[in-house]
Formats: sequence, structure tokens, C-alpha cells
Amino acid sequence: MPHRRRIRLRRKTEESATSVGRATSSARPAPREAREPFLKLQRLVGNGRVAQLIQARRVERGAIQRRLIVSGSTEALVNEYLTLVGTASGLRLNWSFATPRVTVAGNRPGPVPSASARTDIQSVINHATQHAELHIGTNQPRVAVGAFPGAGSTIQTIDMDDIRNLNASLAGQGTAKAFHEMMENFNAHGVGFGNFGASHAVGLEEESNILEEQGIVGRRLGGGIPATVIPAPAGQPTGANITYLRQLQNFTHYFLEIIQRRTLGSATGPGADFEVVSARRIPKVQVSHRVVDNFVSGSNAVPAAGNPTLAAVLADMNANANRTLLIEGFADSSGSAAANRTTSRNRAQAAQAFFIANGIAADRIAIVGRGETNFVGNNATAAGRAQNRRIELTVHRPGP
Amino acid sequence: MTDDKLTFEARLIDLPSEAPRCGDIKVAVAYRFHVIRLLAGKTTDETAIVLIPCPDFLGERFFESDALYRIEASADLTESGSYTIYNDYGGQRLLWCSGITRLQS
Repeated sequence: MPHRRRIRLRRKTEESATSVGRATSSARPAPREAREPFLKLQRLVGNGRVAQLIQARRVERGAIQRRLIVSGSTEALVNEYLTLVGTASGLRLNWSFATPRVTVAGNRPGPVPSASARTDIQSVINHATQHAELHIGTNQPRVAVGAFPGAGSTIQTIDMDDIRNLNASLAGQGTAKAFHEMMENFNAHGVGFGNFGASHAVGLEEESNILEEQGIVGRRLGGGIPATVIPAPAGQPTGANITYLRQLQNFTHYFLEIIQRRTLGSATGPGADFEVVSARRIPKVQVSHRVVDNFVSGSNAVPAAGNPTLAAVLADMNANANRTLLIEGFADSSGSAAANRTTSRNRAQAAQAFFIANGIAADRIAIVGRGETNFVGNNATAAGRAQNRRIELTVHRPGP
Repeated sequence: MTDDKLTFEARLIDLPSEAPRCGDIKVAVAYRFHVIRLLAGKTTDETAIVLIPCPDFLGERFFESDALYRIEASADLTESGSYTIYNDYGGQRLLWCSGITRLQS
């Protein structure tokens, strides 16, 4: 009897494998990494179920491209998240519980609020092999806004209540963090989950882009002021299992103060709940603003004439360890917008390398490529174009 | 007195207050250890407060009271600048952890 059972099991597996094979054999087999999500689904639900899904056109033939994959504690939470990121990107997003893959259903009416938000979503959805995997919940243990996947997982955990509360305090701040989490995870799917720092840096970059496109000037830097325990804010619940923490995130133009409620024994699992109670921006004060222009067209090498300016900025930074530096790169109007964006960022990056080489910690410096924007000279003349090919270096210190 | 770089075996005295996982912020959490055996470097401190970057990446049950660890740490806190610190032991000397292995429970 045991022998017969083994045979039947094997035969069933072979049949199932054949049915999937038929579905995928019409074209040249996709590379292994492209088929990985498909294989993962096979492992999860079995070959037979995958074959049914293909037949019902619930999944695509060949590799299943579930590039933006969103699950949630409830369907309403997923829809809330997708409405938020969809609105920012000017896209209508489709999603269903059965195939938790997000697709674009069309454009929302009116102007696109954030070009970066749109690019982010389209990059994820259109990528051939690389995914972003998000799980949306509330009050999840030890999740403060979002959490990078731990060992053995590839799924970013997002606390929608935190994002909601941030947006209630500071319109747009929670939305920017929603993209931070998405792009942090997306990047990790490309570079691997063993290097959180690299993916976090991408998250900071996208968060900054989306904030700036909403008119909130300032780019997020690494680090922040150590979290401190504070008395319960007025009107907030108290109890033996509750403490309040004040956290300051470092941006070029301000500190983002976030008040968190830490409740031991989260209702949704082992570990404390960290919930955003309120947030506000504490402005910084500008110490200096300097410009180096006359970059060679298409080049990112800082002109030699700019060396005294770099030295002066370095002195400003060395005067106090709390000071931060924003380096913005610009281009003239010659060439394509995309190439100019890259060139302008490379200019900022070249200057950043000077400061890092001279002992300034990288997390005190934010760089951004602004491309062919904010012209200061007339692009119709050679002299004007040279003025536009520039970097602007702004040093800030914490305000009172 | 502490040299810049230390390697030592130590027992975790107690678990600190809970901190968030790394994600929106890079979190470093201060853990308090009792130094059992110094393997490299010089220190006269019997207690070491060590900042662990993103401790959640080490696994759910990695840190337990009284468990034994081998720790590589440094008095140079430069790297901590890009982290948000959760520290229950304010006012005490901090070390930055560059490597930690759990030896036994």
C-alpha cells in the first residue's frame, strides 16, 4: 500500500508539471530570474492551481510579472495605500486580492502632482524582473512607518496608521514616506537584502524628491537626533505600558520632529507598537550660500576657479558638527532634459566627493541634480549658459 | 579607559526598551553587557554599553538576557551619525558594534 501511494503522488506531480509546461512552452523559456515569481507561486499554491489560473487568464503565460505586489491586513488598507500613491502619481491603480499585483488602469484627471511619484510606480510596474513587495497593516509590532524585511523575507512592512497620522500633521509627509518604503524595497530586490544602507539611501532620495515636488523644500539626510522619552502630550492616553518618544529626522532645511507612542504588547503580534502621534517641522537657519559656475559643457569636473569656494564651504562645515550641506547641481538648456538631469547630479556628486575626502561625513551632505531648471543666465548666450552650468552649496545649522 | 578597538566576550545584562525595526529610519539600540573576557584591546570597564545597528536584522531571539556574545566594538562613534539612537543608558560611555556573535544561551 505505501508503495502504491508513492507512485500515485509522483504521477500527479508529473501531470501538473506538464500542464504548466504546456502553458509556458509557446515561447522561448524566460531566464531563471524572470521565472522566479512564477516558480514561487508554483511552490506556494501548487502546479495545478497555477495551471488553472493561467487558463482563467488570471496570470500571464510564462513568467508571472507581479512587479508591484501589495498585500494587506485588510483590503481597505491596501486600497487606502494605493489611492495615496496613485493620487500623488496621477495614476489610477488596479489591484485585487486574488492576484495582489498592482496594474495601471489609466491616468487621473488633472496635472500630475509628482513626476517622481509617477516615475517610481512606473519603474516598479514595468520592470522585467525586479519587484517591490509591500504589506500594509496598522499597529504592527515594532514598525515605525515602515520596516525593511528581516531575515528570510523580502516584504516591506508599512503601517498605514503612521502614514495617515503623518499626513494629518504635515500634508504630504506621509505620502513621501509611502514612496520611501516602496522604493527601498524595490532597490533591495535589485541589489539584495543584505545591504540595507544602500536601499535606505534610495528611500531617502525618493522621499526627498516627492516632498520637493509638493513644494516642501529640503532633502532628507541620514541619521537624526537620538530618540528621547518625553511626557505624554496633552490629550494622549497614558498607562504603565505606554511611553512617548521624540525623534528628530535630519533634513537639509529642517528637522522633522515625530512624536511616537510606544505601547508595549502590540495587539497584532509580539513587540511594541510604535504609532506616530504628531509631527512638525523645526526650521534650520541658513549659514551660507555659495555658487560655483562655469562648468565645461557636459562635464562634472569642478572648475579650478571654484576651489576657493569649496574651501570656504568646508570651513563652514568644520566650524560646527551640527551643520549640514545641500549641494544642488544645475545644467544649461543644451542637450536633452534627461541627460542634463544626470549631468547636474554628477556635478553635485563630484563636489560631494571633495567634502567626504576632506573628512565631512556623507550623512551630513545631501545632493540633488536639478537639471535644466532655475536658470540664472540667458541660455541664448555663451556667458549665460556658463552661469547656468553650476552647483549651489548651502550650509544650514539647527534653528533655535 | 578604553582603547579604540575592542574584542570581548560578554553577557547581556538585560534587554533594553523596545525600539522600532530599521526601515523609515536606521535604528541603533544601546545594549548593556557585562564583560567576561577581553580578547583584544584595553579596557578597565566591567560594563559595556554597545550600540547595535539594526538589531532586528539579527533575528527575533538573538538578544536574550544572560546570553553570551562575542563582540567587536570601537569607541569611534562616527558611524552612529547616520543612525537614530535608542539609548536607555544616557550619560554612559558608548561603543559602536562592528560585529557580534551569539556564543550560547
